[in-house]
Formats: sequence, C-alpha cells, structure tokens
Amino acid sequence: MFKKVFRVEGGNFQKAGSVSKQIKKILKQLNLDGELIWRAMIIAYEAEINAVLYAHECQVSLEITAEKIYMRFKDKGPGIPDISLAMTEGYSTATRAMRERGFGAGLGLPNIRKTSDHFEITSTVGVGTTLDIDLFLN
Amino acid sequence: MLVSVKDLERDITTVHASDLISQVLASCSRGALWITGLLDQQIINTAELFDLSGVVFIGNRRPSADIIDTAVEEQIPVLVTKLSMFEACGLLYAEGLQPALRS
Repeated sequence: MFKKVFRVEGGNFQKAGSVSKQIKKILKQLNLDGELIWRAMIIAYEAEINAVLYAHECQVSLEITAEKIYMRFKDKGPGIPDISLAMTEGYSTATRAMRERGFGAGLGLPNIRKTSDHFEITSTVGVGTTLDIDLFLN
Repeated sequence: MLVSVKDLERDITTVHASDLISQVLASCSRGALWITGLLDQQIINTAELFDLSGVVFIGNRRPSADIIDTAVEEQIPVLVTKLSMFEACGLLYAEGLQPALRS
C-alpha cells in the first residue's frame, strides 16, 4: 500500500495545483489507467482549489491499494452551514475576486461527488470540512 | 504560436471555449484544445492536469512570462490569435471540430 500526506495552504494561489500535480506524478509512476488518473485529478484539483479559496489549511491524505485510490481532504476553515445547498450545482459563496480567477461557478463539490465512486462530506461550522473519496481501480 | 513542444504531431478533434476554469473541470473531455480569454497562471496547470492538447488566447491577449515559463515546463502548446472568441470558435467549427463534451 502506498500512503502519503500533503498540505494545502489556504489563500496561496501561487502554489494552487501543486498538490494535485504531485498526486498525478505518483499515479503515473504507478502506471494507473489514464482515464482513472484524469478522474482523480478532477477530484484532487477541485478539492485543492476549494481549500485555497475557502480554508485556512487543508491536509490531503492519499492512499493507494490494489483495490482503490482513497483521498481525504481535511480542512481547517469556516465549514459549510448547509451541505445540501453546497452540493447544489450553481450554488456558490465565491467572491468577485474568486470569479475573476475563473473559479466559483458552484460546480466544485457536485463535480467531485459525480466523479467519485464513493463520496462522503462532513462539516462543522467554525471548525472545517472533510471529504472522503474512493476511486475503485476496476 | 508562443510555446511549442517536442511532440506537436497530435490530432485535435475537440474544442472547449470558456473563461471559466470551473467549467473545464466540470464538463470538458480529455485531449481538447482550450480557447480562452482568461490570462491566469492556473490556466496552464489546468491544461496539464486534465490532459488538454493546448491553449489558445483570443483577442491578441499576451500571457505573462510566468504563464509562458510554466507552459514550457509543462510542455503545453500555447497560441495567441487576433480573433475574438466568436470568430475563433466559428472558424474551428467550420473546419469540423467538435465540442469537448464528457460522455
């Protein structure tokens, strides 16, 4: 089993995407299927950008077994008061500055759920949000 | 063409046109050419992470040196056109290119 932990810095646009890039490199080295890597990147990048946009920091745990890729994104941040609203396509709390950077269309979390084989979200207002995601290898 | 890459011999059959990175993430398929007016550092990261074939900046908008450096490093072809988004899309559509939609 492969296991690695990364850290995403909230608010740091210079480094945004760097954790996803590292994960892509690892998945490519393991010779995983291109389509699967692409799906993993949708999840990793959406979640990483969310952390940069909204959280103070986020711990990303990657685990790869013979059956699946598991990713956990555990952030310290404002949390989400209404998860079902946040899971609605088009709903967004993004600021104008975030939208000017090409983000904040309210598609991120629904897209992560759609792309995952298994998806769980928990959030506590004032503490943070955690995403647990599985992508099965077969 | 601002950034060329070693392997330029690839067939491009689909195009995605938007200024929203969120939209690329939510609906664009692999291998597409991306036409955009958004000049942001994350454009190249996005193109690399999602296996896009290249980026075209419309309206003669010149990307910064940072964007070009990243594109060279990531081996993402970058082009600039004087055409507007409407004209660039119309031209490629007339040539038979298809929308980059997800199955």
